[in-house]
Amino acid sequence: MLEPICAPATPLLPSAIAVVRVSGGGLAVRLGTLLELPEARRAALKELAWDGYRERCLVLYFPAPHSYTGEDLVEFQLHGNPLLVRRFLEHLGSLGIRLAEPGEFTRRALLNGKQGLLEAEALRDLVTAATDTQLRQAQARAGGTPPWVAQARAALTPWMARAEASVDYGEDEGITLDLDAMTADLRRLAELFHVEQARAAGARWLRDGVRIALVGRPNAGKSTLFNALAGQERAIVTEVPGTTRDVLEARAPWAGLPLFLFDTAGLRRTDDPVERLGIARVREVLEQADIILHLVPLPDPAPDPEIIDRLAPFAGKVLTVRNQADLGGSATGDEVCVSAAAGDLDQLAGALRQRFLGPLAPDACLGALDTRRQRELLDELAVQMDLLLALDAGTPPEVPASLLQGAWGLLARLTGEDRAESSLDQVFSGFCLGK
Amino acid sequence: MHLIVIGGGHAGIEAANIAARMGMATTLLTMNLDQIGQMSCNPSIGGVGKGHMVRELDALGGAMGRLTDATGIHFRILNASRGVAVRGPRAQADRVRYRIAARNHLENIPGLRLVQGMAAELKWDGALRGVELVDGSFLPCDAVVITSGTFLNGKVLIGERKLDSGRAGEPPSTHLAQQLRSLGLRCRRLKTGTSPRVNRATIDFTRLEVQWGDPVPRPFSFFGGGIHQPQVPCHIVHTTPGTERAVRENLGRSSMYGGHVEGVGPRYCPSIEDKFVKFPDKTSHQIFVEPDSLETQEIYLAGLSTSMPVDVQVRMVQSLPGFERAEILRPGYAIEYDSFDPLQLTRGLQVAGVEGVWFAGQINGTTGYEEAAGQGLMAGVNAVRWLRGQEPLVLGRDQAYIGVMVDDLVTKGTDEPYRMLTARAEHRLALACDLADARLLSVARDVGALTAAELGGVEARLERRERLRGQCAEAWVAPTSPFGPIAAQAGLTLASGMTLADLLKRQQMTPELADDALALLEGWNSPQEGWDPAWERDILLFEVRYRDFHERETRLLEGQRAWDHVRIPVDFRVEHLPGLSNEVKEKLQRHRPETLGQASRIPGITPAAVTLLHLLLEKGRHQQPLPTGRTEG
Repeated sequence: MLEPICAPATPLLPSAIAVVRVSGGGLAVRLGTLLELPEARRAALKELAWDGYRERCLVLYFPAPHSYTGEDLVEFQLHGNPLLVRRFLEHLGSLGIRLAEPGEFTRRALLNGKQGLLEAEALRDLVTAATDTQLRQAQARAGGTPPWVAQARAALTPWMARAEASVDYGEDEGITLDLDAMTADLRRLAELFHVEQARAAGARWLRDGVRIALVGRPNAGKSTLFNALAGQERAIVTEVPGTTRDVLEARAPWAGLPLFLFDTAGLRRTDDPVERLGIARVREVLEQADIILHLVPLPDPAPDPEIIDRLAPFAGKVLTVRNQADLGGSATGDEVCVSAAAGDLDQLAGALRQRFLGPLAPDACLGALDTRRQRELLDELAVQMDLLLALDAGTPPEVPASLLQGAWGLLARLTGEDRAESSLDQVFSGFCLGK
Repeated sequence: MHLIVIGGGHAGIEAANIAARMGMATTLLTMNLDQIGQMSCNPSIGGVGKGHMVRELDALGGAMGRLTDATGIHFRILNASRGVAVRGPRAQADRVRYRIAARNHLENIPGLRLVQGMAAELKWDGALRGVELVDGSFLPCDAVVITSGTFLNGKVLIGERKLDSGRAGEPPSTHLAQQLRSLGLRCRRLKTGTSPRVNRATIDFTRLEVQWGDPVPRPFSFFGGGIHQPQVPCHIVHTTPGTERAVRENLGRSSMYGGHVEGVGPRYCPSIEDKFVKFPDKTSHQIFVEPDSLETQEIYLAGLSTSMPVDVQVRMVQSLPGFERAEILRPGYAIEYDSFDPLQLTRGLQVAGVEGVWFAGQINGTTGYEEAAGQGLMAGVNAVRWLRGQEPLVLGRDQAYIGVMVDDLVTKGTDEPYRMLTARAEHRLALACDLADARLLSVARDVGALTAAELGGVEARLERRERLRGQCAEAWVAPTSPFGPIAAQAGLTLASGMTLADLLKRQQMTPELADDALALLEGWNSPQEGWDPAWERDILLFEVRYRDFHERETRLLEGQRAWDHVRIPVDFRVEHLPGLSNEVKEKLQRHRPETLGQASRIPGITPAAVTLLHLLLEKGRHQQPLPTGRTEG
C-alpha cells in the first residue's frame, strides 16, 4: 500500500456534513492518537480531539482491497464547517498524512486494478455531467468495458490463430487460412464496429453537447426561437459585457440533445468600433458552432446578401430555418420550417437529430464509447476490419495476420487492460505445432 | 584484454566468431573440441522465423549461414508462395560435416584460440580475473560469455532412468552450475527432448513420401560462395494407430508422464507423448525422416521426440509404415538443465550485478540453434564493446528478429523454452529475411566484423535496387509503349496509361508477366553477385501491393509504442517514488526497463502505472537534466 493521503470528498462550503477520506498504508498507526479504527464497513460514532478541537462524527473503515482505492480507506463524516474541515486536514497532515493531488484517489483505484481505464473515463464524466442526458450517458458507461469488446476478442481469436499458424507452421503442418470463410465470419464483427461507431458519434454529442448559433435579421424571430429552445430549463443566460448586446448564451436540453445556444445579434457592417468588436466575437461563435441556424422569415424569403456573405465560409454547417410558417409559404430543399411563436418546432427537432444522431434515438446511444480517445480507436478498428474484409483472394496470410494483430492491439489500447503480446498463448493453444 | 567464451555450441561459435572478427583476443573453451558445432537435436537449420535470424546473423558477420551453406544437403524455402516477409529458408545440414566446418572456421580466425577443458569457477578480485578449469589450470580474462546449453547440471532422462549428462554420452557441468547458483541468480530447471535415430539400411524408403529440396538451392549467406555439395531428399511418414497405442499403453513409463521431470518443456516442440495426450482428436502425426549425414547411415526422425524407455521407442518406431524392421542407433531422450531467469540480464545480455559476465543460448531459457546463435552473436558483440568502453548494441524490434527475441527475453522473461515465431514480431511485414543485409547494413558497419568488400557488395545491391525502384515509378505504361502488349496479355485495358509500379500492383500481373515487364528496364537482368532477378521481382511485387498495409501496421504500432521513445534514466530511482505500489516498484527494479515502452511490456505493470511513471519522469526531467550520450543501436 502507498503512503497515506487525505482529501475532502465534499466541497468546502457550509453544509450539513463534510466528508473527509483517508487512503493508504499504516492508517491504524497514523490515526492511533485520534481514534481506534471501527469495525470494517460499519458506521461508528466517534469522539475526536486534537489541538483543543473536539468533534463527534461518524467514521467508516473499508479495509483493503474492498475499498474505492483498493487500499485501506477511512471516511470521516464531519460537521459541514469549512474551517473545521481545514483544521482537521491540517491535523492529518501533522500525522504524516498528506493532502491528495487532484484525481489521486481515482489514480490509486486504477493502479490497484479497482477500475479499468474505460471505467475511470466514465467516472470522470459521471462527476462532471451537467445535464440529464450526460448523466444518463455517464451512468450507462460506468460499467466499464462494453460487452462487445469481449465479443470482438472472441471472434478474432480463432482467425488470428489460423492466420498465425498458417504463417509459422503452414508449410509443415498443412494449415491454411481460408480468406472467404474468415470474411464471412468476421463480417458481423465489422458491422458491429460500424454500429458502435454510429452510436459513438451520437454519444459524443450527448456527452459534449451541441453548439448552436442563431443568425438572422433582427425581425426574423431569433429571440422567439431562442426562448422556445431554451425553454424554462435554460441554465445560464449571460449578456456578454463590454459591447452592445451581441451574443446571448444559454444551455438547455432540447429534443433529447444537450444544446448550447448562442443568439447572435449584430451581423451588419458597421463603422462603430464597439459594434465591430461585437462582430469579431460573433465570428468566433460561428467558427466554434457545430451548427448555424440561419433564420429567415418564411413570408419574406428574399436573402440578405450581408448575412449570406458572412455565412459563406461555414457553408457545411448552416441550416436555413424558415420561421413563421403559420403565416404561409413553404420551405425548399434542405431547409426546415418552424413557427417559433406557435411552438411548432418539429421539423427543426427532426433535422437536428438526423444531423447529430443519424437514425438513432438518443437512448440508443447511451453506453456507447464517447471520448475522443475512444472514438479514434473505434474508428481505427472499423477501418482495420474493412481492410481485412476487402482483401483479394490471392493475398498471402501474413497480411490478414498483420491486420488481425493490429485489431487485437487496438482493442487492448481501448480497454487499457491487456497487452497485444498476451494474445499469443490464446492464439496457439488450439494447435498441435512443432516437430 | 581477453574474452573467454565458455561452450562450443551454436551460441558459443557465434560469440567467439564475432568477438575475434571484431579484433578481440578470444578463447573458446569447450569440454570437447570434437563436439564444436554439434547439433544435439535434428540436423536442421532455419525455418520460418528461425531462418530469418540466420540471415540476420549473417548480415552482421555471423557464422551459421556460411556453415550451413557449406554443409547443407537439402535446402528449401518455406512459405515460398507467400510474401517475401515471411519466407523462411531451411536446410538439412550434414551433422558430421557441420561440426568439422565449424571447427575449421574457428581455427582459421586470427586471434581466436580453442582450448579443451571444463570450466570450474570464475575468479574475481573486484574485476573478473579469469576462469579456473576442472583440471586445475587457469585462463585469465576480463570478460566471459557463458553458453552452457543443456550442460549445467544436465540430466538425461529415458523412461525412469536418470543419468547425469550434458548430452547423451557426455558429462554435465556441475562446478560452474554451483557457482552461478551461489551468486544468487534465479535459476530454474528447463527440459527439452530429442528423437531416436535409426539405421538407414533398415528403412523401406519406397513406402515413404519423398520430399525434395528446392531445385536450385538458395544459400543462407549474403556473402558465401554458394552451395556445391550433392543434395538429398527428406521423407515423410505418418504415425499409425499402432504408434498411438504404444504411446498410450506406456505413458506411465515415460519420464514426463511418470513424474520424473521437474523442468518445463518447449510448447512449440512437443514430445510425441504430449502430442497424443494434449491433442486426442488428432489421430496421426507427421514425422520427418531426415538424413543425418552423408558420412553415416544415421537417419533422424523429427517429430518423434520422446522420453520413453528404449523398448517402447523400438515399438513406436516399428509402428511406422516402412519402419517395421528399423533398428534404433541412438534412442531419443529428454534432458533437464539449469537455466537462469533472463530478466536478470541487461539488454546487452550482460548479467546485471555480476562483473564481466554475459549469457547466451539455452542458459537464458531459449530453445533452438538459431535462437542460441542470435544471442551468442549479441553477447559476443556486447562483451567486446564493454571491454572497449562502448555502449551496448541493442537491435530494435522493428530491425531484426534477434532484436525481438532479446527484448522479449530481458523485458518479459519466459516461462518455457522460448522459440522464435514470426507471430512474436509485431513489425513482421518489415522484417523480410532477404532484406536483412539492407536493414542491418549500418549496424554491420558499426559492429565491424565484415570486410570492406563484403559491405561494399551489400551497398552495390542496395543502390541497384534503389535505382530500379526509381525506374519502376517512372516508366510509363501505355498501349503504344513496350509495356503495352504485356499489359494486354494480363487482360488489362489501359484507358489513360499508368506507371509500371502501378501496373505491377494488379494481381493479373503474374510473376511471369512481371518478369517480362521488368526485363525491359535497363539493368534489371544484368548479372551481379547476390542479385537474383526472380527474388528481386518478388520483393518488388510485395512492396507495391502491400506497402499500404505495411505502413498502416507501422503507424498503429507507433501509437501503441509511443512510450518507447521515453527513456528512463539509469539513475532514475524507483524506490522512493510516490504513488507506485511496492509490487510495481519491485517489478521495475527487477526488470530495469530502459524505456517507458519496455516498462509497459512487463507483465503485471498496468497502463495506469505506466502513465504515472510517465508523469514522474516528466517531473524529474524538469528538476534535473538527464544524462546524455546514451545511444541505442
